[in-house]
Amino acid sequence: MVGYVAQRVVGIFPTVFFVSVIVFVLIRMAPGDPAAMRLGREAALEENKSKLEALRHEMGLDQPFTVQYLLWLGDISAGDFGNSLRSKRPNLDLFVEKLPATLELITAASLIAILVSFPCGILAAVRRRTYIDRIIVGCVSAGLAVPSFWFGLAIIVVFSVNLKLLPASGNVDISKDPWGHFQRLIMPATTLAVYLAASLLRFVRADMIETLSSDYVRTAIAKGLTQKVVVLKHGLRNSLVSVLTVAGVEISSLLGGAVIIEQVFGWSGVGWLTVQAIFDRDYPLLQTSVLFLTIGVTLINLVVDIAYGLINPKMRSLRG
Amino acid sequence: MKTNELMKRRNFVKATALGGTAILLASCTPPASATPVVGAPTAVPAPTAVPAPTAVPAPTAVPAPTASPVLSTLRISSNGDIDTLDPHVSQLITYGNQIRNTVMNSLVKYAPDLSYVGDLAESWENPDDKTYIFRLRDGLTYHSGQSVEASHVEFSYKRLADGKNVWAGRLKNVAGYQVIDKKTIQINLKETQADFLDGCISLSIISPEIVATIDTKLSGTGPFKLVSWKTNDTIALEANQQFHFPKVPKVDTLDFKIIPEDQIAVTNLQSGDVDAVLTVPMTIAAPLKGAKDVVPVIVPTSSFPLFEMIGKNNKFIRNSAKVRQALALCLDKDAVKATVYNGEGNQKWSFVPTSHWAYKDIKTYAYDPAGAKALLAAEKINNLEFTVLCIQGYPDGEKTAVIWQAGLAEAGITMKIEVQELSVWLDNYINHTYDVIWNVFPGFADPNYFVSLGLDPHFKDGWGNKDAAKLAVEANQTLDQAKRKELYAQLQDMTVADLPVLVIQETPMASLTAPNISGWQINPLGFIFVNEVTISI
Repeated sequence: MVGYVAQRVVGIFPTVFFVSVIVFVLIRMAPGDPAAMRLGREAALEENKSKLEALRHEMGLDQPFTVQYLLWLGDISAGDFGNSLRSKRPNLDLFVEKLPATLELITAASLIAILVSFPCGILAAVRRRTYIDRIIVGCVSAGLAVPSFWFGLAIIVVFSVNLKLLPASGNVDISKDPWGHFQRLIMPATTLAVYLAASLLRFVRADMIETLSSDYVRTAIAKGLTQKVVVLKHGLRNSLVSVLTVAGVEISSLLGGAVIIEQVFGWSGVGWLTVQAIFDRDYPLLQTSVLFLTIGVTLINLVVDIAYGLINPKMRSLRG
Repeated sequence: MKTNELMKRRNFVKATALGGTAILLASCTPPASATPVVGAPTAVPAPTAVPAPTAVPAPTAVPAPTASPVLSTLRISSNGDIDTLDPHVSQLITYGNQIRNTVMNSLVKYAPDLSYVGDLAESWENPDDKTYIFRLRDGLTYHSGQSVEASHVEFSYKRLADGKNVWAGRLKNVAGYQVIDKKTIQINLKETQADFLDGCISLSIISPEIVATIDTKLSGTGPFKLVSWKTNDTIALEANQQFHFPKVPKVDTLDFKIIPEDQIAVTNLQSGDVDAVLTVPMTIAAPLKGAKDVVPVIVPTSSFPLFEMIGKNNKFIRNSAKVRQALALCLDKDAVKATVYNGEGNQKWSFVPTSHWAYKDIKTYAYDPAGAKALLAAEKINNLEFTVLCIQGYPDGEKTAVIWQAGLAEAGITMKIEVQELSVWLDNYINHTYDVIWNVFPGFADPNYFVSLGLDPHFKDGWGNKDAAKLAVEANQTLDQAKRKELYAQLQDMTVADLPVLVIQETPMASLTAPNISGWQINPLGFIFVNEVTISI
């Protein structure tokens, strides 16, 4: 197992390198100029052409792509992630400042999704073709279909505007106001969890149905085990292996969903930061964000793989 | 409204990006405080407020109004974050509304009627057309406690002039500075410049001592002090009790919350999570008239959207004023006003604000697609096709283009609409790589603002009207207003005839406030001032 983990950790580097190259090239190939964004439309004035060039030089944009990339690579190797072209603040500071909010949001959403999807998925599988199953399946379809932006807006209207139960948006420091912080987390986390929960639930249900139809489960039932034991001990554990794989991929994709949710609920995190960096053509900030997000996603996948091995002894033996 | 609407994103993702960078124009400083204070500071004392008996109204001395204003926190939703704290770098309108108008000051500012009054400067004089002598007010201090000195004006202006920023252009005519004493500075110009004072309005004065840390800390002289700026989150300000205009501000703290999506901002206002929304499109504000929980503040402004017609990509449009006139005949401005701006705003063809002393009312190009067809036939142009570039997230441009498209179709002209991300649009705008491009300008007090920014690029590329270019220079080198009016009248005639730009109309601007908010100000240029806002119970 240790060898496997070490192998996977080493495998992160080429992935990160490849992604960094792709991002570096793509963002520079896209139309748009950070220097022009700084000067705005006054960059169109003849008298400002020299300023535009000076800004490009200051930003290092007048260098060939390869030189820019190698310089960036050299800098990050030395732990220097540079400054944002827009705010001039250190990119690492900006990212680190926003990271906890996103991690918290994703963690909360994942917990909600898991806490909803597993019991409901099992219930739907056990009560297959009953009204309970149909209601749950209907909710799954709705959860998969509803746009998160719309859902977020709808629950703001219901819980903040009409019922006045929860704050509409924003974030407050957890150390200063833990309850206020928790209140503000509920709606964004729930909104983010909707798609994940629906997606997982569908998978749990399908997998459980298949498992519960298998020979060894029939044998367990024939041996007189209770339904609870059969479902939870035999059925669920077997289903967990495949469900976990799906969960790993889906949780990684929450990073994408977080971009929308963060803006809807004013929950300022790295998703929002990254998208803004794209629109501002803030190359160094974008590269820093993507670099760490890539590392994050590969780490999540690694954790999933490790958990997969722990749950499935067959995999452990295969990996030696 | 359009100035700020340009900063708006319907699309929530674009909102952030555009909000941060969009339309990039000069802001201004608050208008003179004329309203009496109605604060009642006893209700919510500010524990961290600096005691300043001379500046803070004594609780017992304040007459109790019918509603009871309290010193408290004003929470305002803004659809865009600032890009930097440095007032000499940022050119975002939202920076103007959130920082420049609250934390910073300039030598002069606009009065409500857009005339110039002293801000940090108590007075100024012109011994001759090329010399300005400014005298600073007594007792001016920065938030750090440091005194404001005349040498800081020289430092700030030199920093601006040397910087890689758009403000430098406003100081290119300065020949030199002479600090006469700690409160007096003389600025000498190379040439007579009618809009020099106007250009000074957005030029914030800072101390040399703060430059080293200006990206993270900002010490100004305004009615509010910067407490913190969390990117994409909150800008927190607190009252500066030492502010040089008494009885301002009227709240303890001021928080700008960044909420990119307009509809979400409205729900935040309705739920009581914010007290006001800085700007919203008319399509959101107008239906809220008469609502119980929201008060739309809709103000006509002189900002205006336009189509710029002289790009490099379409030789027919670029080279022929007749073709441009034909296109103008296809724009149904009544439909635009009714549909895009909810019936608000003044229609016009000139680039000068309708309320301005230099405005010339030119009535022409009434909607006439048949006339346009005939004009094109006379020019022997058939099946004209062109593309209009609009900015993603700015629905007004696209909606106007759709209306224009219908009129053009009646005249047999095919127009495509291409909506581009701001940075892409900006690239095309700067390089003139377009057939026609939608744009929006804020209001201005001096016509040279638009001439230098909106017309000058066309003088230099495509619009071969040398008389117009000459007039533009002459008008800004003339101080006599009657003479200037005459010169600008001629320039307006030429512009409307040649149509390097097709002005659409003046647009309204809208904010939303909670019913207990008063003192919200939007000036005719479209800039928002919250320094005198009070919150009533």
